[in-house]
Amino acid sequence: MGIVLIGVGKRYGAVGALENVSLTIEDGSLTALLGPSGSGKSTLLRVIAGLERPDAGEVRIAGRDVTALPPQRRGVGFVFQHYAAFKHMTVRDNVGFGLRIRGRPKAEIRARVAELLALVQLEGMAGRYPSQLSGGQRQRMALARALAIEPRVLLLDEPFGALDARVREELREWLRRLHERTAVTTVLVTHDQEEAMEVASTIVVMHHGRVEQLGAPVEVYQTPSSPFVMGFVGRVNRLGETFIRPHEVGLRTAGAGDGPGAEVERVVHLGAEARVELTLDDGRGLWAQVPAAEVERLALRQGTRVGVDLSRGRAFAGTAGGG
Amino acid sequence: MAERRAVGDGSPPIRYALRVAALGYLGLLVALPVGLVLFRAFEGGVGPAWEALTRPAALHALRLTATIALIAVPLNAAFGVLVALALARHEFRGKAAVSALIDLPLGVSPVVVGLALIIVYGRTGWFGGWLLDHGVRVIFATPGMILATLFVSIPFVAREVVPVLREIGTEQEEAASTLGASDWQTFRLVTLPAIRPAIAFGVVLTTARALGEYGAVSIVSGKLSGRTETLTLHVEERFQAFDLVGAYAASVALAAMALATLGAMHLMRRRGGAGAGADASGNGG
Repeated sequence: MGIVLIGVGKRYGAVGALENVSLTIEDGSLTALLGPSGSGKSTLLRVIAGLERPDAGEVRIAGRDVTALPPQRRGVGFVFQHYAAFKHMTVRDNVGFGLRIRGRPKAEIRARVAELLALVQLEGMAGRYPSQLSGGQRQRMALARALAIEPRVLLLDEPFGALDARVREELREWLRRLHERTAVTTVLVTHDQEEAMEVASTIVVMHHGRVEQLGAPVEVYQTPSSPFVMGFVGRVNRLGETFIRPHEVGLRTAGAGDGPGAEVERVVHLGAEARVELTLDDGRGLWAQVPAAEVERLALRQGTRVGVDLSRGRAFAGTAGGG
Repeated sequence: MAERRAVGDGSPPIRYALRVAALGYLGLLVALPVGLVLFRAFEGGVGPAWEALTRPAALHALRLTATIALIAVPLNAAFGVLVALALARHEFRGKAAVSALIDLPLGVSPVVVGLALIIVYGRTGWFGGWLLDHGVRVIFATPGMILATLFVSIPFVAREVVPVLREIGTEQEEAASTLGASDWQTFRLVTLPAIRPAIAFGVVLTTARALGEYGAVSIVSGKLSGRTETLTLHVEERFQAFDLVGAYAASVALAAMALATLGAMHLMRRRGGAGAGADASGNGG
């Protein structure tokens, strides 16, 4: 059930946007497609919606092969980064559009629109035009419009990308609660790892048109499958074959235990934590993120000599292709 | 901030000079001649002008001009919207050629258009003989004049609509399709309202060209008074016959038709743009 993709490929001329993508998105889940721009995540979402035709492979929604179906008949709700509001229609007509197309009775449309406007907290805005709404309100209207047709899956393409940081924060939280209430299978495309971690129950990391890793946020963060994933979902130091997150770097008094020695270049206080920039004895640079108390305990300042514990770092098979 | 100031925000003498230049230019080239035509038409009172306009030849010219415009303008409006959709929304082989062909009538002299039509549809032309044998007269008759008018007024609607289609992008249309709207429903409910003002303006330009066309129409019409004489041709004919009141009165009739089109389109834009109007007032707060 949910969404199943089998061997999906898509090319634009010589450029491969999707390469043999196979993926199962659980029914009722909230999944984030995470990746840098050009990784194919938006193309994949558009393929699921039927807005792009794949060159190869199969798309199944709720057990049905929809590969050949146009978007009109897939039962998907799609939300665009730039809202795609119908500018010449009121909020009421925007939200009721899908029901009007389906020829539902006027009274039913009115009732359903009122219900949806309450759900997205836009009561009292029904008579306004999109240009009279803020960005966040427009995007909530777009969500209500997509939900009006009771879609089997809800697809969101960078839905908060055009909003400022505070509104984005609010809407993420709001989306998560909305998903808990409606339990519609939801796929969110984002390039923001924090957003993916915060909102999604499953993260699909994409790179060069392929799925790099699929897993729960904590899995993807703690056991990344490749240097690319490790670098994309968090900060990372690379020392030859070893990859280590700054907060996994251990610092101790110089000479205690084994591991290389280093000299502190700079200490940046970030409140509860501090960022310590180091130069290892072999000349390579490294930075560590440590609790502020550690800075006190080891009396870290420019020029302090310390011992470095890199035992929590990890190596990948064939690390030639770092992110 | 100096570089952000608009030209003409400068010192008072410069501002003054710019205004005088702009108004003087418009006055000399537009207002004065049009005003003089109006003045001359009614110099001897409304009576002679009315009499000149209600003569059979003038009435026929008026009807013929209206007929040609009523056929050519809707055809070119529909064609213009279709071509605009093709150019802005679809990729196809030969797109650049189509785009260039649309502009061709702007570059080709109307006289050449008229001659070309005679070469194709004239008695000795490519299908002219065949058509005549089947009782269809194109050249020196209304069909030829309609063809000439269609040719010269092709570009306007497409040229107005294409940039608007590009600017609104495809997201609204895609949203409509995911909501279940068919292509036709999407066009009617989403695309058309957005391009309506551009179509209206394109129709105004098309109509102006259709009413005012002289060169191409004069060549294919044969200028037979009371038969193939449009209003513009009638103006010329009256002028050559030293009937200045007749020429001026017909000119005023032409101008009135053009103004009526402008007014009608203005109303249509206001109606279609009701939402935009409400936006503007809403944003004021």
